[in-house]
Amino acid sequence: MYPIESFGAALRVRHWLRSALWRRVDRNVLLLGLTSFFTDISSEMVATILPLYIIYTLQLSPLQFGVVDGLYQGVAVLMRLAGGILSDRWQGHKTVTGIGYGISAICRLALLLTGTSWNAVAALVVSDRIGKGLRTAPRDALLALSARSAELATAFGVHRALDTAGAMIGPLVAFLLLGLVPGGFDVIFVVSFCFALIGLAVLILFVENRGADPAARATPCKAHHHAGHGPLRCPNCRQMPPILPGASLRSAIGLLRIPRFSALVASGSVLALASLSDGFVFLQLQRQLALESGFFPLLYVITSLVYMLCAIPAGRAADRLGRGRVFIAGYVLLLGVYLMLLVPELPRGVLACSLLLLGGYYAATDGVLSALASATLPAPLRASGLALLASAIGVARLCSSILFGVIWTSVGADAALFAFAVGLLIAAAVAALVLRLVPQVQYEF
Amino acid sequence: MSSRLRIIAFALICAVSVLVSVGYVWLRKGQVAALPGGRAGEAPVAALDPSGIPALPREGSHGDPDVRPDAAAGPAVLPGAPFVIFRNTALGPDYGRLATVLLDDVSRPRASAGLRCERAYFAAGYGVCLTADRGVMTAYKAYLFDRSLRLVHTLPLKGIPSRTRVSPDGRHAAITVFVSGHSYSPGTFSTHTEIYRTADGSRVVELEQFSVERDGKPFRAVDFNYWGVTFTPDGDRFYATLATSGQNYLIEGNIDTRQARVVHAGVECPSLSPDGRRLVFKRLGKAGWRLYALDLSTGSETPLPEERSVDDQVEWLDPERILYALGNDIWEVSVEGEEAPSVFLANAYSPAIVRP
Repeated sequence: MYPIESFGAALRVRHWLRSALWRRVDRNVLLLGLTSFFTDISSEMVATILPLYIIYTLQLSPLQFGVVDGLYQGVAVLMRLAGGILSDRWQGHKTVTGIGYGISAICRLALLLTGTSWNAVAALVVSDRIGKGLRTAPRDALLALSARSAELATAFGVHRALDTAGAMIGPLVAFLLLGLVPGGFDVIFVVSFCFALIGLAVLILFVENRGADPAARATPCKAHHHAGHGPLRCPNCRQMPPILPGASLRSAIGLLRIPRFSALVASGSVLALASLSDGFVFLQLQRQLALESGFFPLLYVITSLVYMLCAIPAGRAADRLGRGRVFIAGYVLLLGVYLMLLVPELPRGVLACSLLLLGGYYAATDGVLSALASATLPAPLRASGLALLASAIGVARLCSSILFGVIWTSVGADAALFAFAVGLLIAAAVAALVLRLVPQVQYEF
Repeated sequence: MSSRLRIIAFALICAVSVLVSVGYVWLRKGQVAALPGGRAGEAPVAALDPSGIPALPREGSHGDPDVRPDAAAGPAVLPGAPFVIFRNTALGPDYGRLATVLLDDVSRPRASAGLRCERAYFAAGYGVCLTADRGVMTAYKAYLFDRSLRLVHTLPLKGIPSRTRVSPDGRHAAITVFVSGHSYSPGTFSTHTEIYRTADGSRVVELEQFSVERDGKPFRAVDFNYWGVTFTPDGDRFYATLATSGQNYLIEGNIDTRQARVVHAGVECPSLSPDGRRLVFKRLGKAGWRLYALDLSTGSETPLPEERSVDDQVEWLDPERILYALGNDIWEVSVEGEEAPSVFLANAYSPAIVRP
């Protein structure tokens, strides 16, 4: 009896393991997650030590580094759009993603050979970001095309969890290596390249390219028509605007004629406009927690840890309870962080909880927004649409930091924080309303 | 490709990656260990006793694996005759450590002062050593030491060490660090400059607290960045760079009154001459940073005969000549003449001239 029962229990556990996550999540999603995991280990290893390397070994001024960094912000937006559109045009999401990861991998190795030329280092940093810009939209499109539509947010959650895990391990590996070989930046570049290579191998060898079904483009409402429903029985289909053939900047911008997508772009941008850069949030937290500067990275680590742990549950919750709801809830968490920063003399334990809220905010918004957008975008233009959304949010973030600077200069830091909290409240309310008024259109691709 | 082939290919790539990584780490670890007194960069001042105020690690300190055993080579205190103290960058056990050499003959073997620094300065009996203690959380620190190389104080730093100066009278020390966003949120750098009292290691003022005047009017902006302090001979006042919205200004500040005023534009990393009448600074041009001398009474600028890009806060060797780091060496050039620059000290960085 007993052994059989325990055998039954084991079976149940196995059944639960199989059904719980792995069977719901497409193999492609897991593999893309693994690719990001290894690539993020690789890139964060280098990103962590790059300032040290540049200043101590190359003896360049950090201001030069700042110039390099500023340069890439603009490049990244352009590259993201280019990556999305090209990948839609060729329906080669895997190829463009692979090129993006490949460029970044080569840059790691090239860092070994640059010597002390700061132009070369700058070129490599920019190339690395070009690679990142290129691959982001096609990778997300491939994720979305690989996941079942009911599990979109879960799929993005799985990917973001693996991605964040890699980003947390990377710096640890880097410091471990620096401990083993003090001053051995070359060791970090070599090991980083190896991690990048493994990530690239996972992508090239195992990830399947999934393009749009060519038939879907011609008749987006095929399934409904075949089922014999008249156009009146498929009211949402009529709302589906005609998609321009071929992928181009025009067709990408034309996507804004999909009401739900433009609602998402608008909500996402307004919310981004009212969000502070995390750098400032951490700075405020550090100040209020009276942490030593050495512990500054700890704030990032805790937030990332929470993000990693919550990404999958948040994705599943979004798929079940409504993605829009979870997305807005994420911003409510962020509002909670602002309020905690505004209340004077909070106990340190309570303040530390704001890191949990912050991690939860990332988990509930980042992947979920991509899932929301993916659900509205026609498959043939999914990468373009995702790139467009990301670019709009990028521009909104830039405006947000300029706006914050202006308010800070004229009125002061606390006033600026308060203004942003009020702004975020309004933005969240507006976004919730817009997302409710413009519901998800049910159409078959 | 069949799925079996793919798996084999993947296993091969993983195996090669792991082999290359482990092999390379092992190889480089071997190289570092092969240097006598290796472990360069690790635990910059391993001999520091956490309890109380310990002596700086010197040659021959007992139980200190980070210090060379031959006591004969190192000074117990700094020399009595004029000398230059600098960061030694000659490969070997003393790489990255402070070293001294007498000014009358800089070609003589240098004496290691033991302490490991990224940048350092010394004047009138007090020295500052900026270090990066690299670990999982890289900690940046400044060590204040005195002329018998005793550690007086340890100051935690908020970012990557950049510039440091001690006032000619030894009362004040200025430290500039780069405060950067963490890699998770790549951002631009900003600087943070503080002035300390050398006697007790207390912070006198942070330059952000100064009220600045420009053309007699208050000058304020949220993006003020200060760096590169150079003190006047009396130690009461200083010059520094103030950057805001892409412009670099030279300011003159008074430590007691917390007042500063803009005296010139386009100046980075000023260094005041011993007589306090002129300063040498760098300015970013098309071909990198060029050095200029500025006459403080007339405001006239003279480019120095150094064609290469110099990113350093220069040090005055004497009233006519300056020193600066370029490549792996310290160079000297005259502020007056047209003479081409020459190497002053090879394999050295961050010099300070001390005339006891």
